[in-house]
Amino acid sequence: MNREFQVDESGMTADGYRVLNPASKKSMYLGNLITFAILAAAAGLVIYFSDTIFGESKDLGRAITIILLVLATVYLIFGPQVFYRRYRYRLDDDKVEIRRGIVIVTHTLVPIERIHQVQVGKGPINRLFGLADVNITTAGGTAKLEFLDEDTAESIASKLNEYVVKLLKERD
Amino acid sequence: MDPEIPEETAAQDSTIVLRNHPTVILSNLITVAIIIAFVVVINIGNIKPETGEIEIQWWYLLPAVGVFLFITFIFWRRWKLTTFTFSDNEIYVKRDTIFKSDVHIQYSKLASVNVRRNLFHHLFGTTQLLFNVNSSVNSNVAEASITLKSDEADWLRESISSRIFRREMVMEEEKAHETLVQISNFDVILHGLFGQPTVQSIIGLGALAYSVFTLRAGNGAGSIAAIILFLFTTLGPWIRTILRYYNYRIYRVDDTITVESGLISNYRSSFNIKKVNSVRIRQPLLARLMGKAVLEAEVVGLADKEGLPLLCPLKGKSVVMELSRQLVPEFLFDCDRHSQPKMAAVPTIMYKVLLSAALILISAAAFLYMEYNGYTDDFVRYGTYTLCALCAIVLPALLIIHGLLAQGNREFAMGDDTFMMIIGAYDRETDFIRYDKVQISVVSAGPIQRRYGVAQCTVSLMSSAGARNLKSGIFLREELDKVPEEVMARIRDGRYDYRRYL
Repeated sequence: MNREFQVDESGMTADGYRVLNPASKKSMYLGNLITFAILAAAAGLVIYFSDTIFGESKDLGRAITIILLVLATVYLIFGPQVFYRRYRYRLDDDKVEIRRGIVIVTHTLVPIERIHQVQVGKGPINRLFGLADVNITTAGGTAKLEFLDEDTAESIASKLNEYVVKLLKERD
Repeated sequence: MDPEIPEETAAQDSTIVLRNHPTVILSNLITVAIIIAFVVVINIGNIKPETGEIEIQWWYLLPAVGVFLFITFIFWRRWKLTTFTFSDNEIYVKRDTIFKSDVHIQYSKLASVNVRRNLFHHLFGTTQLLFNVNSSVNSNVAEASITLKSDEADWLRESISSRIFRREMVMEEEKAHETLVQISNFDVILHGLFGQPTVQSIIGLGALAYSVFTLRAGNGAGSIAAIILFLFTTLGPWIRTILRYYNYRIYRVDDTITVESGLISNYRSSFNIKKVNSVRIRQPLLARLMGKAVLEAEVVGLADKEGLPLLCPLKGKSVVMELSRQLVPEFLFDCDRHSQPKMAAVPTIMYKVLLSAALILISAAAFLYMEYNGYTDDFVRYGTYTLCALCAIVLPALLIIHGLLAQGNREFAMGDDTFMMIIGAYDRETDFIRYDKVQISVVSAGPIQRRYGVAQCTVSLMSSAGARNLKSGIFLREELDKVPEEVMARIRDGRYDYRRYL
């Protein structure tokens, strides 16, 4: 495993970031499988009705449809691996940081002081694997910690909520 | 003053209890009357199948009048049971109808107080006051609005201004303040024509040119659609802008900035400089060629469906810069601002080159396909050739020029309390942003950018219309990382204090 991904006993990398639970890959793959099924069905319909849709250019239409489906499939197959490898998050006393990205790598920083609302979201696929998302809302937008263990997500959300409530009480 | 002020609250000197002017009921009923009339008109006539004659069913008016009276009663009850209490610390809006509501708005949370006078208000001598809270949620809808007789509205603003803006305000004196910049009505017309984003103007003018061409050529195919597109994308915004910013005045007294304008409807917005999240100098391409610029500010609650209140409509760049120094000096700073580094040129232009190459390849493939399959239909052939030429020559040229202009235009600099980003290629925009108003920051880099150690920084902040993301040009990653670092440093060492912005 790449050194920057090696975690110590406390589950943190050398630079203090946490990595995702490997179960997150299963959740992503299952989600991608469903996406692929929908795309393949749509592509199948387009090819089946290519005479009607593309008329004289049906061969060109079919070729473009197949190329787009292949590109999407490649992304759906390799995307979760890259996403998992690059996804890291860190929660300090005063900020939340998320490093993520498949093609474009981003580093998101949310000062806890700016947080208005914290919410734990559990979709049906994530629930199958005991995972959850933490949605962080500020006055200017939202950030999301994705594919966390349910316990970790609840613990982070509760910590952030406590901070927000404390802050509001202090200001009142 | 409303004669029905409850005695117990009126007795307290500083507390004011008011109710909307009764004409609010009438104003609400106009829309209802139009809808009911429309429904009645399309249903009242019945065509007899035997003779084909139209029979008027007068009985249809009964339920219509009944519905109208019922809605009138609801509006009257809502008016009667809704009160606005202006106390020392807050505005309290109480609605005691079936759908009860109690809204408490602390003065410290208010971002802006706006005054609206449309035709209806002019007719009845009333004024609408809108109170906006500093929140991106429902930013387009005022948290509280009250309609009063104009003199009462002025009196109310005078009475509560010290609580909201922390300064005394006398409306007669306010009206006499000299504007900080002289904006002629011709300037406003120029602003309407050239102050729009270039893409919007090009689409509109293209649609107009197409409709004129097809009409002259005697074909006319699609000309109606093109004219409609021109009306919605260009002419409509032009007219709206001209009506909105006619008779423009702006002045600053202490920390309060007031903007007034309007031809048919009159608008007056007041806000404290502390509530300004960022300031923007915008130069659409055509305006830039004329050496002109627009000055705008992001203040929550200032934008409405009529547009964004400007600090200065289209005016000479030097005038705009001088005005910004007088009006919003808190945002400006002197420093060595710099353009994108040389290594940023590769990722800036590389993406455009790759996209251009893809466009050329697709166009070439489409052209060859057309030739080898021997299409005979002239419309299809010439249509495809035109599209191929557009995608293979015009769009790549525009993309490459965009990249070159972007590399030259984009700048970045950090000051003590604010930082600056110049973005855009054809249209240029200079933003001065308060570190303390940055809600989320994202530093991102694509594969080519990572190779050259450069990145882009996106900051999310509250804006006039809710929330807004601002993306910088391409600069050294370590340089852009300093923005979130500075935001955090200010929170940690106490330079950021929420009380500064109350």
